[in-house]
Amino acid sequence: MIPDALHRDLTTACGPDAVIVDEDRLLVYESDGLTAHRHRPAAVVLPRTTEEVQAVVRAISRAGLPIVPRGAGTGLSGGAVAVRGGVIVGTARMNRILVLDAVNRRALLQPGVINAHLSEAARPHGLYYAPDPSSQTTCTIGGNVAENSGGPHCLKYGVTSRYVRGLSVVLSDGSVVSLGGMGREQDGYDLLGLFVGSEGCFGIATEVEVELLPIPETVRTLLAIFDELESAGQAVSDIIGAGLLPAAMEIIDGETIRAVEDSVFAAGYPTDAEAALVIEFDGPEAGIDDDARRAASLCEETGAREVRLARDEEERLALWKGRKKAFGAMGRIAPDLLVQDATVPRTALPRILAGIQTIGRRYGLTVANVFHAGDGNLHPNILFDRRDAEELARVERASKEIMELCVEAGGTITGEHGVGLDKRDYMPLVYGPDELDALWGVRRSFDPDGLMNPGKVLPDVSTAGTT
Amino acid sequence: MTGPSTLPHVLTGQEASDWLGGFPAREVHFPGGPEELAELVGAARADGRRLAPAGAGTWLDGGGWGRPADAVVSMRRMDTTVHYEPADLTLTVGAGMEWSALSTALDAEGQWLPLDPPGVTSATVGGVVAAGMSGSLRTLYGAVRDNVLGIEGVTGEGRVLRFGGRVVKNVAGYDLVRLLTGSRGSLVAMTAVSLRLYPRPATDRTLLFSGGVPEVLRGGAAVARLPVMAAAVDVDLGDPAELIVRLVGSEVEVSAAAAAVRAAPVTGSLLESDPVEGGESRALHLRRTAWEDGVPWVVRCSALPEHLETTVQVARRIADAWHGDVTAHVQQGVVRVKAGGTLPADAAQDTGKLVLEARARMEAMEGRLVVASAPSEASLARSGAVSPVVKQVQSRLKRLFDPDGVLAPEAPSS
Repeated sequence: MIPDALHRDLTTACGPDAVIVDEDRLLVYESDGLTAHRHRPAAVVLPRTTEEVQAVVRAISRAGLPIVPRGAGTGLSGGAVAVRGGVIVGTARMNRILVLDAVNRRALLQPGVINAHLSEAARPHGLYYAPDPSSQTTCTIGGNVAENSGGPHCLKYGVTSRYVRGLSVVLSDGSVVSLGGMGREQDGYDLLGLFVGSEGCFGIATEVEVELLPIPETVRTLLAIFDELESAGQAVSDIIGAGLLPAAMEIIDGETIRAVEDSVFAAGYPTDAEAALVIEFDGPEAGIDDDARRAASLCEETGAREVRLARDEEERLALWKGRKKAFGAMGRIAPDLLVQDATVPRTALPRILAGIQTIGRRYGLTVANVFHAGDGNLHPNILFDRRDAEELARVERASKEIMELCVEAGGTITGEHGVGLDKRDYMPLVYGPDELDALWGVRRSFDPDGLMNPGKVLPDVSTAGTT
Repeated sequence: MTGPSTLPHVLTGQEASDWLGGFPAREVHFPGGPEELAELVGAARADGRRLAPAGAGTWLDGGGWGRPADAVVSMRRMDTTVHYEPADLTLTVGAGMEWSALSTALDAEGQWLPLDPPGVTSATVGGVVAAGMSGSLRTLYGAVRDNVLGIEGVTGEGRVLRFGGRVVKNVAGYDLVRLLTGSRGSLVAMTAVSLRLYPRPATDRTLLFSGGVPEVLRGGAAVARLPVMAAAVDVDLGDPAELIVRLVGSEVEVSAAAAAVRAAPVTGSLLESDPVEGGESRALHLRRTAWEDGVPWVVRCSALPEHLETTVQVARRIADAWHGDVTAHVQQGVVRVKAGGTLPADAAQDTGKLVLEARARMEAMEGRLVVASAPSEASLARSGAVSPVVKQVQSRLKRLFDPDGVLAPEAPSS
């Protein structure tokens, strides 16, 4: 429920069909991809242009309600969920590619453009957009900007912030700000870089300028099968240590392999293996086979019992299938899934993987690992049943222990999913009171009244930046 | 310059100024770590004194952000390696480590930091991060800010803060590492930084072509549009003009890329001299980072790469008046101009007008003109006007980290 005046203002700004207040229809917006956090918004509004976003933001601000930006809702941190009776500003209708400029290798987009659609549109020009989160067929560029999304190929190409070259942003007072811009050499504070990954707490991006890359001439994809998870982790360290830079290195552990092979997504991985390592090289034809061969022999040296090389695109997609569909397949094993996102230094991988298995065993829980091994970005998935309160308590304890283990090893609590609601309470593991205070102050520098996506990222309390 | 092991805790008077290569300063302090620096900041705050954070003093004029300071604080004694695990391809060092010393140490491990901003040869690691500038390698490896993983620094309130870490993917909290990179010591005085490293490419080859200015520019543009990503596509606008194409990777990869560059439209009509290889190629590009060292007047024009020819025209007008030189990073649409030395009296007088006209032309094509270096009496705005909202956010950030203005550099555009 929202006040009548606000309802009227939103309808005037965007038209009646763009305002959702019906309780049943609001259900869809109750959570993001992480269903553990459910909060029904007071309303949802779906503007089409920057001007409509301005009008909407001003109206919600006047009503003193929280403003919650949301893309496709595929996030995994409870970031695009309206707590405290907020109104969701959805970007679903802002889905136009405004400029596709092949000469300057860039595109100007509305935030609701779906990540994979951009690469499809750029393909005829021999270009593509590098960051490739697993949800890329449904997630939006605006969401990627908010979360500073990664993806398997970020090992070689880097994450979203490297490719965002300019933004138009609506702040909580309705003002529009232009940040960066290709061709405008950076000078002054990097507010553009600061905005990327701000999880909707600073403002709403209404136009996004991104850099595109030439499509690599060719690709080689390998699958190495291991009897021990730690050996796969060691192979990753050895490949990087040898000076090779694959585009992606992804590990799927035994638990996940079996879940995938039992599902409709079966990819032909041996079910008695304890790890599958997918390695992909891309780039010019010249030299790529040498790189692939060197990586294959390093895998064999660390104990791979089998290394397969995809002979064509069909085989390549088959090798990737198990990795890409792993989350879907795990749904068969247990009704609930807690996915973590810690990152550790790459050389700590074998030790941390063993540690996670020990923690899982100690709490009697199944932990399935699928992760971006090349970046040291882990995704341990704890499988459980929410209806079992005792099991849920064990899951929470184990989850905290895994997080602590990763931080102690020099890692961090989230590599690409963001903090959102989910990891807010873990922020003190990586930041002390002074750092948290500074983070609060930076947030208030953009949003002094605290209306943008409140309740996310930072634990409550702090007065920094209020004067 | 005295090395860190023999540096005292403070130099005063002439010794201070000498250590800074003539920069006027009454005192230079050399704290040994963040806590000692925090004490200095605390004392300065209590006495109402202003401190200018520095490394080797390369960018002490603040690049237009500076205010007069009562003392300089150099991080030069903080020059140790805090953490280096080669297989992680990450490194944490004290901000005062010399860039050249770090490069040599990484070379021994077959690794490198592929960053080539202006002035890097004489700078410290902290100085490079605080200045946040980029060179040719940006297109292939990202800007400085894309390669900084963590920063430790002391605020104007004397608080020691640590953001980011030493992992390559990290989205815990807002990206303050990006905010602090390039903030020129106006928010914190950096004491340590963590950086992302890369394996040093087995082959480093630079192709050199020369010809008339229009042909060389067109050749550069053609190379920049190839699917092959070169590590540098630079043009020096001398007589003759020179096109400099740097290729890195494995031997087969580089050979194939070189063939593609030679087959690109236009390059065939240019005169090619012998390519430069390995250590010589690296040395050539390192020398190029010193292109504007010690030059009193430097301007940087940038616009979309497709407008390169117009950007060059704008830059050449300034260069002609200055009897100066022009160089371009073709892939990025960035063109730099430097004066040939101290400007003749008439040129110095007209420079303000000239630069403002050039800025208007750059902004008309949605580009930018930055005055990277100018004598303080020139009182030229470093950059074009920014929106009042951006200005407001910038001053809030400055007040947040340094409420009493203890750190001398101001917020940009203030």
